[in-house]
Amino acid sequence: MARTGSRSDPADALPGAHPVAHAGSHGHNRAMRPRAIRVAGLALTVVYAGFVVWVYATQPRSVDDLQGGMAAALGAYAVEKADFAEGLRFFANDQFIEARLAFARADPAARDARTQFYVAYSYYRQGWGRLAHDDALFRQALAALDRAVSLAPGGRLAVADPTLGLQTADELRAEVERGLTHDWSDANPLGWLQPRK
Amino acid sequence: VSADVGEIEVSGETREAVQAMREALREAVLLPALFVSVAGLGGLRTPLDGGLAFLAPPLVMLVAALLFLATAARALVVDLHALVGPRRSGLEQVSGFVLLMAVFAATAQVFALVLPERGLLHGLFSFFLLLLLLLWQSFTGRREPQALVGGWAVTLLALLLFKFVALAALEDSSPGLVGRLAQALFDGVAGGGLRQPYAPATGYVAFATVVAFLAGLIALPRARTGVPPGSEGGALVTGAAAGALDQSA
Repeated sequence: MARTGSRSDPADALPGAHPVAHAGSHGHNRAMRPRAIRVAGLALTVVYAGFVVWVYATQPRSVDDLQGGMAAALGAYAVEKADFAEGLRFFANDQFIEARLAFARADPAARDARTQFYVAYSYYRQGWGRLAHDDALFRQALAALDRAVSLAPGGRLAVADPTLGLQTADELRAEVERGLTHDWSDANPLGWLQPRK
Repeated sequence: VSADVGEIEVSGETREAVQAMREALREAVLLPALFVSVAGLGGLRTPLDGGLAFLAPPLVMLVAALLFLATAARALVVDLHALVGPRRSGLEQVSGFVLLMAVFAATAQVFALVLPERGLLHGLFSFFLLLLLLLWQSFTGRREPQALVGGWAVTLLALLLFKFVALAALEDSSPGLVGRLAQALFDGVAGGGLRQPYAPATGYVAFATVVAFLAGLIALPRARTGVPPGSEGGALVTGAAAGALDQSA
């Protein structure tokens, strides 16, 4: 006659539901479960909406960028060391296009300030000319430098590399912007003696 | 006999408990996730030169979304009593409010998705969208959720076709002389707003987004009856049934 107490609760058969003690605590558990679902749902929705807002704020340009951004936000993003070293080797040999390809492999999401600094520097060196500079490459240098500075803590970026004539983002920016400025001083023959940095 | 009666009562209680859990799952997990996904995907574009772009809705779409919510509330597509009504507990009201915000964001993004984005056409379509919403708000009958969802399904899908099929045809990369003339003419008339420089994937994502939005609207909770204040559970009824119950009361 006491069959009702021994019947299993159909709610327990739902996915994610746990068997619960019957008798006195039954009603309490029934009331708690929808409440727990609502609390969990609220937390999930807030986290998910936060993720969507973060995506719109950071504007990833590719799936790699999105993955890299997420990894960077979680502190798990790392540059591929072998590709970075290869990029440096190309850079030192004045093979700038090859260097940028290697840097792109090393930092696919463009989330590493130092790598982006070298990308900017490669545009500067490739665009540098004794008589005239390549403005298009210099503008790309500025774009890469903007990325690098935005990624650097406090917006300050210095790379301790003795092979570089300009070791901070500020020096590189000033040099590139000077190259993009066209005035009468460009005709000064002394300027043609300036070395590439 | 008493045991049988007790068993029937317990079965009824468990049925209510399962119903309450399903309702909580739908209101607090599934529908917010669906509408937040729609809001996220609504701004996704895949430019022709590759990559991704995420566009936030312009201000006019936020106004349009607010008008749509007012219309939807009037037609009981969005039933405010079922979401944030005074008979619900505090947690249920918070849950309903979050769902309401998700619907608002999704609506703004869906409108921005199906309308031309630049130039004269953007202004014209935005104006007519606001006009249409005001007309819906003024003339639509109360408690006609099916009519509202059906009407907006046709409107949104027609706009989607116009933007991602008709306008995309103008983006033909190797047009003939007539095509080039048409492009120049349309660009001149529409102030550049006719060109849609997006890859075909954008159209497919847009279609899925609009369909998900409409499905979400259909699945929104409607008025509940026979629920004591603050309690979980209770039966979900359609807007029409709620009207009939109100009249009988």
